Amino acid sequence: MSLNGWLQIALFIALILLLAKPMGLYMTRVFDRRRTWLDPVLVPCERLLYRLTHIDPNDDMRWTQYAIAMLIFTAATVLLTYAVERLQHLLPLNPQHLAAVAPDLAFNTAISFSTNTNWQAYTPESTMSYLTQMLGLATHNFWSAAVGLALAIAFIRGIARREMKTLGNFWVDLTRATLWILLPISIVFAVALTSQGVIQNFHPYTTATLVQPQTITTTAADGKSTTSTVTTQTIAQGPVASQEAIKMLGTNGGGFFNANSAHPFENPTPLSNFLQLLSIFLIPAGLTVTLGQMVGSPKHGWAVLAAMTILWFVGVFVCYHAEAQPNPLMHNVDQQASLTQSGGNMEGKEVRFGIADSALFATVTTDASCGAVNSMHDSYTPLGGLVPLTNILLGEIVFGGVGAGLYGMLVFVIISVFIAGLMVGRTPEYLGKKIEAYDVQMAMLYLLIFPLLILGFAAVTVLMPNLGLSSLANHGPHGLSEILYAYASATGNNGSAFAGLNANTHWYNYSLGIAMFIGRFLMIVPMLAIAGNLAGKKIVPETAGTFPVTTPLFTLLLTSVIVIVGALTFFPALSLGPILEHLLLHAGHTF
Amino acid sequence: MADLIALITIAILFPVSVLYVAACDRLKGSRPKGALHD
Repeated sequence: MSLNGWLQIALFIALILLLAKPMGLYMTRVFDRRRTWLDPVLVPCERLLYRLTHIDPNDDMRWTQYAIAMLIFTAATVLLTYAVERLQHLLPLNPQHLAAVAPDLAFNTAISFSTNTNWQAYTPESTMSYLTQMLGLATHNFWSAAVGLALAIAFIRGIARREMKTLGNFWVDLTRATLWILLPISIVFAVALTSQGVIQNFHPYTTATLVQPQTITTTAADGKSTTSTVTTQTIAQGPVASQEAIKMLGTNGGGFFNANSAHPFENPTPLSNFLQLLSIFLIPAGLTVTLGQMVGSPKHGWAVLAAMTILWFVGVFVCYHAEAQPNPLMHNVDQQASLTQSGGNMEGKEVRFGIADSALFATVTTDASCGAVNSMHDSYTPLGGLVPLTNILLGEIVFGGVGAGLYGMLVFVIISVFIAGLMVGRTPEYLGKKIEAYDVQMAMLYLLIFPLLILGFAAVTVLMPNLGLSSLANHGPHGLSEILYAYASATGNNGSAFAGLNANTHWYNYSLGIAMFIGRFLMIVPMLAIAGNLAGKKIVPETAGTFPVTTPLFTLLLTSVIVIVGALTFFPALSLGPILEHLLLHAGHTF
Repeated sequence: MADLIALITIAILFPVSVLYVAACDRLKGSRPKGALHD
């Protein structure tokens, strides 16, 4: 580890904490429908949209109506994306004449992008036309993030409202999240990215002649070797900057290119990398301030932000430390950091980012449900790879995805105050509202669906040699990590891949698609049910026995509950994957 | 045929989710209201 690396990490978190307040206050104004400086431009657009769609913006919805509106909207957008993928060979903006996307892959991708997962079981530059990337995928980057934001705001309203049955209007929240928050920031961010060299064009792919032709020998399945000389290289082009901005800001993570943010056209410089990191945490950090403002307890928002920051720091410390260590199996190689080399484990990392920025990116992208990568997580040391996997398994509530991180964290808050209530023998209360049996039932439903899907699908997959194991590039504990990571990433709606797993098969496309769907929507429903139930409650006066949710003790309790729930649920699986691999690495075995 | 399988899967997932919303809502009415314990 280097001082330079730690200074960059410190600068990153300092800026996030500084930006949280203005971002949070702005979002509060947007969702409270108070005046903002963008109103002169956006209010007419908003009114026109409501008029065209016959939406009454003052029509508040019960939680069930809110949930069904969200499901109808998502179903329509899933079908749109599926149709665009299947018909892309007939549609314009396909200069490479790419064929229609296969049905199982089109299904997987449509579900993936609509759930904010952006799991990609394909190579984008050789599978998706420009139109598909823009109309089928980038639109979902806005919509899925806006849905997440709307849901988080609905949950906050549930906490803030007294004796009401409604949570707001889904269509209004969706519209305002898109127009006031995601679009303006994305436009500014896309321009900033182009200044760093991110491309934005509709050109056909460029064919370049190699200065040094390469001789390649390939071996076929029958063992016959063929030698050929490669003299040209195809360089993919496309409207990247416009998609890259919302990909990071909306914590979507689906790359325009297969190499994602490791590709020089997606993430060319250390500055573009730093801006991308900031944009992942910008809205999730701001939402904690929005929470504090809307529920009338700013200190509660800061207490939640503090818990997130602690968990983030532990992750980045372990990951950076593990990746900065020399490989124990390379005895006669100088692996110390110096002016001429990074030292440590540079496999799968970009030289222009180095170990610190790669470890920070891996931690941030999995703390949030982003899933963009600037290095290959499969190439991390076992303990380094354990961090992104654990972040996902904790539920991606450390800052978390846009909206999804906050409402996931608030479910943990409910469990924490419930446990605190049990410890002192009082009815649990959260910001003046009694936590009742129904709230805890729904919270437990939310928490149990997640491990059930991940462990269930992973267990079924490892028991099927022909469908599951045949896709693996590595066996032993590393192979288990690859499968576990895939289902964790899908269910957690992260979308990053551990690589080393060919997921473009019928089994993986359908099973991961279903995991993404259930991991998103069947967890949202109990969360909204809690919000609806909380909104209808009275506020009970605070007494000496009320557990305060604004103190360091609350932050400690919340952090502990998150770690304990995660550790108890997933430790056996992790011990058979990355932890066993770490022990075997030091015993001289690799996989 | 492959398109049919994908579309049927989508056609199952969303209505099941709507039923799930209704089930969660009904669960609230299945138990007496009140605090866990006082």
